[in-house]
Amino acid sequence: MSKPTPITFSQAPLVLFHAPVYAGFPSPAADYAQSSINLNEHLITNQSATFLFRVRGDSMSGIGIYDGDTLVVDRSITPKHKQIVLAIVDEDFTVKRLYKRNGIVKLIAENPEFPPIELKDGQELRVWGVVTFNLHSLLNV
Amino acid sequence: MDASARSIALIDCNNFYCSCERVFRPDLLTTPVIVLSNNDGCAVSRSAEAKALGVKMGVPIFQIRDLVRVHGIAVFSSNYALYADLSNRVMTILSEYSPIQEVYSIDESFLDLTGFNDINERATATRLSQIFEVLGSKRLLRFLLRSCISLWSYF
Repeated sequence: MSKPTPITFSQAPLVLFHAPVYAGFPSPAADYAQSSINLNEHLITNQSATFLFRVRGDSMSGIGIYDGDTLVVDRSITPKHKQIVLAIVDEDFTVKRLYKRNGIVKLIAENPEFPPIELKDGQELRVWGVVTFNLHSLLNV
Repeated sequence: MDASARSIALIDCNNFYCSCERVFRPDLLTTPVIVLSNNDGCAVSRSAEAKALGVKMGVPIFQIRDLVRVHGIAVFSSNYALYADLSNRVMTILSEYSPIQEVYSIDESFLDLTGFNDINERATATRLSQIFEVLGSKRLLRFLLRSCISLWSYF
């Protein structure tokens, strides 16, 4: 049996210099280089409970979540009113805004073409995780 | 529980490969699921529903073709990259419950809980809270606590 390869979060080692680069002698500013930027630290609070999902569809385009975007989803966060959640509706994943007020629970789309999903009596809302970030490429907009 | 006794916890994930496959397949929550060995030879992991249907551990898939068809059993090729990733997450969370951890296999781990005076609380917390967040199944873990056992030694 071959050894399984773990899926690891790749790091983005970016070193930030606050000075132009001199060709000749080493920049004295190099002594003041900041520590490298680790995007995981910015995007992930709880690595063990964080997953990435690719968006399909336009139901959340009103708040800038578009088809093809990548969502950062944290399963350890308890979902609250108005948060963007990855929920399970009709045995399938869906991204919506959670509405939870006065005993009414529903999932709201951020696009007028999509009606809100209201839970019927006895129907249990299953939230898979809370969306913490949306990664949207601006290269070819 | 007597905190001075040697206390070792053995954590073992229930039908781990099947549980992993279900994490990203909410439609299979109540469907019987089996995962096959390399080259799709035998059933190496069976969900509780599949076990109830009589799928035995290690049975060659060709012997249960009819069972799979009649009961709509979801059959998966093994995806070790997925299992290793989720295993790492589970083990990382478990490591927070004790300074001494021995990862025994992809879905089993020993934790030395000797000296903790809140062993039962730790056991409950481990079983029901964080692992649930990662894998989404309350049935995932079987937690055995044994005092003063010679089952495992770190020396």
